[in-house]
Amino acid sequence: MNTTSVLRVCVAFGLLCVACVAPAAAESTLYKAGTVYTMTGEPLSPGQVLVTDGKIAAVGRTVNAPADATVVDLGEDSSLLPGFVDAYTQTGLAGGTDEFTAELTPDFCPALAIDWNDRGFEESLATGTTTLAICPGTENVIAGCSCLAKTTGEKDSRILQNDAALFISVCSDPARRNGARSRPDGLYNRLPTNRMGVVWILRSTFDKVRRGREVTARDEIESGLSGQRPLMAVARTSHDITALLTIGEEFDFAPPVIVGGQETYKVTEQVAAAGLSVILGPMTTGSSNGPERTELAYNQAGLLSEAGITFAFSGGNLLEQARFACRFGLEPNEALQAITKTPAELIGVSDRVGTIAPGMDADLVAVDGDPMEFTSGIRFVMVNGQVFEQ
Amino acid sequence: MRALRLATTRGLCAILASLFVIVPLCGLASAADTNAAATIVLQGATIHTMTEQGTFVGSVVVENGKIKSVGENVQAPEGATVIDLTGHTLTPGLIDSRSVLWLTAAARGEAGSRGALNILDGVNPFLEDWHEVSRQGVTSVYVQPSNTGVFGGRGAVLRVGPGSSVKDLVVANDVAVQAAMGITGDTVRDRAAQIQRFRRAFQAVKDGEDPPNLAGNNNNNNNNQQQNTQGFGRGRRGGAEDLQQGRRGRFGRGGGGRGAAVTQPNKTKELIELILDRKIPLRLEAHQEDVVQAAFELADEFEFDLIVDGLSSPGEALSEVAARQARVVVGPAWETGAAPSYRQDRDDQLLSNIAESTNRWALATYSPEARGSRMLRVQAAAAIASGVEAESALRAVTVEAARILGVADQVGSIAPGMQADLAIFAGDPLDPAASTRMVMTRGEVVYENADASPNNTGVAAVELPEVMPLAYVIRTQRMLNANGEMQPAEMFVQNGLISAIGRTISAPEDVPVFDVGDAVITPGLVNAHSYLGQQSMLNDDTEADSSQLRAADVIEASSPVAKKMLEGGFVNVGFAPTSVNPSAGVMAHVRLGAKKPVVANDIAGKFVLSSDARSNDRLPSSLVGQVIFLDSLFGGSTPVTRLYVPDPVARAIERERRSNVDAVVTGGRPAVLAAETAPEVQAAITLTSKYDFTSVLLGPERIQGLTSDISGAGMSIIARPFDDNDYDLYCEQLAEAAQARIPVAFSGETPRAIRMTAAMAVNAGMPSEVALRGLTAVGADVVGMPAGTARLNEGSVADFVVWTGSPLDLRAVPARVVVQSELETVRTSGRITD
Repeated sequence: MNTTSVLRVCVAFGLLCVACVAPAAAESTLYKAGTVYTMTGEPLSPGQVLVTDGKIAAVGRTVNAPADATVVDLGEDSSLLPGFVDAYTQTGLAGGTDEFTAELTPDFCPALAIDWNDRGFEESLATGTTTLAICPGTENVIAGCSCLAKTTGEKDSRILQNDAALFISVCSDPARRNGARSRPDGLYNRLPTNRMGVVWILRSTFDKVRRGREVTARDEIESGLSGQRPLMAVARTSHDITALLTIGEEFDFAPPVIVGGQETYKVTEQVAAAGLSVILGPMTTGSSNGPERTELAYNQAGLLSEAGITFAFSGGNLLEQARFACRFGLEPNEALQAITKTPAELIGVSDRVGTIAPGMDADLVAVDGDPMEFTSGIRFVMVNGQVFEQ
Repeated sequence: MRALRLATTRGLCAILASLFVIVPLCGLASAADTNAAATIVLQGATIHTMTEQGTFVGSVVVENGKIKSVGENVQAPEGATVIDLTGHTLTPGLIDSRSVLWLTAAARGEAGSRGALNILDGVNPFLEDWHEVSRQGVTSVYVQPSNTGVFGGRGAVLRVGPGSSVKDLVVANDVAVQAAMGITGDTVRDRAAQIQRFRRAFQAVKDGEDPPNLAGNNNNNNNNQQQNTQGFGRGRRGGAEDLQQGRRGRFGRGGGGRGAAVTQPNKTKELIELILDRKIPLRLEAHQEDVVQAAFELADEFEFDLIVDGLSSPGEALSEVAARQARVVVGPAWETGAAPSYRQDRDDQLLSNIAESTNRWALATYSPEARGSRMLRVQAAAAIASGVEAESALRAVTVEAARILGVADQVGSIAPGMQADLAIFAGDPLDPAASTRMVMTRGEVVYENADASPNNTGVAAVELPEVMPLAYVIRTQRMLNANGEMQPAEMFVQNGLISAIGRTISAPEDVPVFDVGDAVITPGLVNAHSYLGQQSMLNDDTEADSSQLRAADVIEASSPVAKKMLEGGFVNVGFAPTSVNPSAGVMAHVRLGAKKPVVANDIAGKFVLSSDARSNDRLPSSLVGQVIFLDSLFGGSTPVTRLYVPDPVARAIERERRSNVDAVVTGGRPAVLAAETAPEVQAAITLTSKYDFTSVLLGPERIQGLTSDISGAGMSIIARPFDDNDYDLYCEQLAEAAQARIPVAFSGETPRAIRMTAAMAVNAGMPSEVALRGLTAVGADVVGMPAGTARLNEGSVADFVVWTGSPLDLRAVPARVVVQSELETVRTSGRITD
């Protein structure tokens, strides 16, 4: 199957134009803020960011701006941050998040079916998120490839990458629907019916790939295993995480990124030793149990940080999640890293977003006050130089 | 955190909304500003005053929200704003006598049996649906508790316009008490018991006693609630009534029965007293003959004001309606959704019979959707198409409605001192295709559309012999030509073919000439996509790749649905497999009424991106899966046949599939792509662009912002009928597509639904020529019907329809449908009854 060419056309057509409030081209704007969190080094206090043509032209304590540049002084207490990056979401994915009638769907590309007018994009943007990884669901053992996109923007500039990370599920989700059936009741009844089956399918598929046998969408799987594209594994419980480590050792593939990872804090040593990173599912103060009855810890982020594991937050409301983690022991700077630079690196777009540095996309979040303070509101969010005010 | 998020989102939405949400009321702000207190003169329109003054061309002067004067020669006061409406038609704002506009979703199902509800408590003045109702000229609606309760409580007449509080919206409250008999009980015995309970309750109140419970038991509230758990809004109704009674208290709903020590005033008694004192009418919903009869008897016995609501199968009781000149509210004239059980066996002639029986009747939409009241003009047109006099239908949505609702002193007619609720149409008020030029309530312009250009279409009577001879000339002032325009023309028909057609033609002298005057002649219309009621034979979801299936193999051209389609003027049908598979099969061109109905059995391939083709039991179950599946199918790979058939059969099936798919990808056969949502439409565009084939979007709901991509990919659109709950946006999009020069065809399962889609697209701004072409030649072309289909040309088969008016005018009906000059079959019809 050849989906790449479909995707190319998809970028050329298909996407809906969103608001255009940007100043006319070639204009520069200088933003002066109390603190600029560049995420490339110590915060600049005070700091200035020069934005030209949707890109960051310069950043520093003081910046030489062109004489005709518009100057926006955000005030002494204000902060400027890179636009947040949500490394795991299904926002806008229309018509089903999984193709659950097959076990393996490595060619499942959300980019083929995204509703660009989905309200979720507006909500993400309003909470400071400027880049999203739109990922396939978890009901398939090999689920597909994520689509990286901005939360708003014009047709061609909105998608960053059509087929980014390869997703595998090392959890009981792929077995859930099948286990519910007492016996095969259709022509297309599928495996696996339990979690052991999930691991078995992974193992047999990887084995086929290694031995050159026929498998669906070999290119996608091989590039994921070889590290050409990020490999992301949805694993939540500690035993799923250890199962992932075991398979990883067995097939010697590039260290995957754990997605969900609610119980990573229980197996920090092994995870750190294997060099895995984690995209944490949404933090919650709700119940003490997460998905799949995982046992949650309020300070899971802090514990990962102590163990030296790279991690990012995901699943919406990123600034709130970072603030929440800080309250339970995470360093503020680490918390900001986990919603900007780190997720950008994990999903493979750190050359364009996640930090404030010359040449990067002008995706910024302006906050009135200390970003880690609960009472500090978001004043505006900028995507590619376009300002969306609150 | 929540608050922050909400606040920020809202702020953002405001920015975004102001930028790319279409504001349908472009001219509204300016117009509204200028006329707050000033005097406005509406000049030059044909005015239906609905009073003894009658109808004339003249002016209306509006001042301080009221009508100051109306007449043929009214002097414009100094300094007044004069609006020229020459060529337009001005009527009182239309009134829907049964609506759920303004009601919260919960309140729409709220019913009671103790009269404790006041519908005003269920009104939410911040709902936005009114805009769409208003733009169809409706300025007042009547709302009341749901009919699942036998004695719900007070109803009210509300304004269709902006309001910041319930008070702003009220035209009149307490206008009637809602009651119903025979809705919840299905048997004659149930109904007899219900009638008996009403009689006992009224008698008790008359005697000064407390009435027994009307819901059918005398115990307490809890039982009452059980009585009310039919229909929607389940579980909330009893609660609302308790709240009204002050019984809810700290125990909540469940504790009402046992813990209610507080004695409450008996609302049932209070209301029945008001009814007996004739201070408020009883609006009794009665459908069956026995309850209608009982309603009259009750009214006689207890001497109260009765409004009969419903009257679906009155039988002999209709003579009582005539004898008493009873006040009646009926509707809808046409069921646009599923009819409730009590309306299912209505007589086709019901409305015209009622209209002949009593002058005091009002027409209502009875729509379960808030936006449904915007269909009032469609309903009035449907009433006319079913035989009701046009004048009577207009009265039923204006002055008679106002009288029955008790608000005739404020609205419903145009006379000095009346509230300035006015509707101005670019054409006949009851031709739904005529756009609304302006709507005013209380002197305030609530809708304005300066683009509405006068469009005068009329309805004419047609007289033709029962059976047409073998050769004849038919002449009309309005014959539809290939450009979608109506022109005077005559046509010489001989032996099933059109021998000559033109402005004036020469024919042998002995050939009879039929001059149908103003009647409209069109080619047999085209329904570009239909199942003709045979869905069950066309459904087969075992194999996602059903490319080998042909709809033509199961055609039953004499089915009731097909017969109605033909009688409704649609001769050419794109007969299609259903949408349950991503590759659904091959469509056929069916010519209804012909001896050989299948003209071509492979006009187009149908492929489905909408949710109908997603199945949990086979691949694909998701949109992404559908796109990948179709991509691989078009790209040349043939999915494996998983049916248990012998190998040679499987190979034959696969060959057939391949040839049908290839015919689309490389052979020029059009692909009909069913796609509804924006991502589905995007996927259809993507596939069309990649394989560069001819394609048609079937039933897209959301194409806003995608029109340039659609026209860029050379695609066309087959519109599907919309329902009460769809936004006008749907029709606006069709108009937008027409503006982008995207060919638009029409489809559906009933002739009236198809014509309504076209009519409302015209109402929303589509040029009528474009719509008429979509119903004829363009419709035939987009789905690949043979060249020349649905065109009246010299030498082509004489398939044509003689209409009493334009097919876009829903008042018009086909007076005669002629297939091949009637050599093959003879058709006559006079009414539309689908």
